[in-house]
Amino acid sequence: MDNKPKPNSDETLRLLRESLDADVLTDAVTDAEVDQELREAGGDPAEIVKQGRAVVAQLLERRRLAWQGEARKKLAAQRALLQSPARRVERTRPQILAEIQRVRTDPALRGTAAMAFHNRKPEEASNEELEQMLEEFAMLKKLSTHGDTKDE
Amino acid sequence: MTAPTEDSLEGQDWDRIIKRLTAFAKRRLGYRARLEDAKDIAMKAISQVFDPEYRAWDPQTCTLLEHLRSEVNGIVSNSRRTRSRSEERFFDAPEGGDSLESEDRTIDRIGSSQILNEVLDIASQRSDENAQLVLMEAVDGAIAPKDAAAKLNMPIGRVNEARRRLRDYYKAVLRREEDSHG
Repeated sequence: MDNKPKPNSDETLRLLRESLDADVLTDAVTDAEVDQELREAGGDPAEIVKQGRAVVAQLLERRRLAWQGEARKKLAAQRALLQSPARRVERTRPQILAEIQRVRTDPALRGTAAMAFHNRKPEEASNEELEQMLEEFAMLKKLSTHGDTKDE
Repeated sequence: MTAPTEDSLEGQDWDRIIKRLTAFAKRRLGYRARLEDAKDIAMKAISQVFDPEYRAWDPQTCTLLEHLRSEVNGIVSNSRRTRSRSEERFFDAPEGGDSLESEDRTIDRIGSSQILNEVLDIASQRSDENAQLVLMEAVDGAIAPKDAAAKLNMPIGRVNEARRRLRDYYKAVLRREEDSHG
């Protein structure tokens, strides 16, 4: 037996009105019927879509730029941290070259590191240049991982 | 970077969403409302999805349209409350601002129970047995189409057709009352 109390008529009518209105959000109402309803209300469905899409495009772009802004802030903070004397770990040249060799084949960087050395040998760069590159590759890898997961 | 999916805002069928949400907002505002107001509400609801200040859409729990449905309902309710408060101070409703509460006033005047009875009467006069059954299940608490379909052991398509007619009958009762009271 259903022991749930029945809603009173005010509540029933309120819920029923909202539910019947919401049928227009489902396949219970066809696209052609939605267009017809908008026309009967004095609107042009194509124009409504055009105006709405312009707003959505702006919102999507603003969201994309906000994410890039966040990434830039993180990048700057990370750089400042890495460049602080307390955090910098001194590596020998062979250690730096070994690390460069490792990132050149890192699949997460999707060939970016390999491209960076396309016309240039790591051995020709100074230790400082190579350390700078390693920092940038590390950040690229982070951004790439973030980009892959942010919409999941 | 991954390609946009249906779970991402980029991957949505925005044409469909914009049209249907505008039509939904118009329905919520009532037949006297201006379509421009409905468009504003629909776009405000969509903007809120992008705004971290508002409740975030969780693709794991509902579709974007279901989320937007509750956003539109929230905006319309807030608008009703705001107008109700302003009416406490000003007796004259602002120009074009009577659409929202005219339906509420009509319901208050006649009473929900009487309106439900009149809708049932229209369905009965038209020998619309399915609409009568769906309405009675709604009064019994089975308001969502799938709940009514399960309780009545009726195909969902037939329930949807009956609901469409019920909405027409309800509108007919409302219009008759509103027209007779100016």
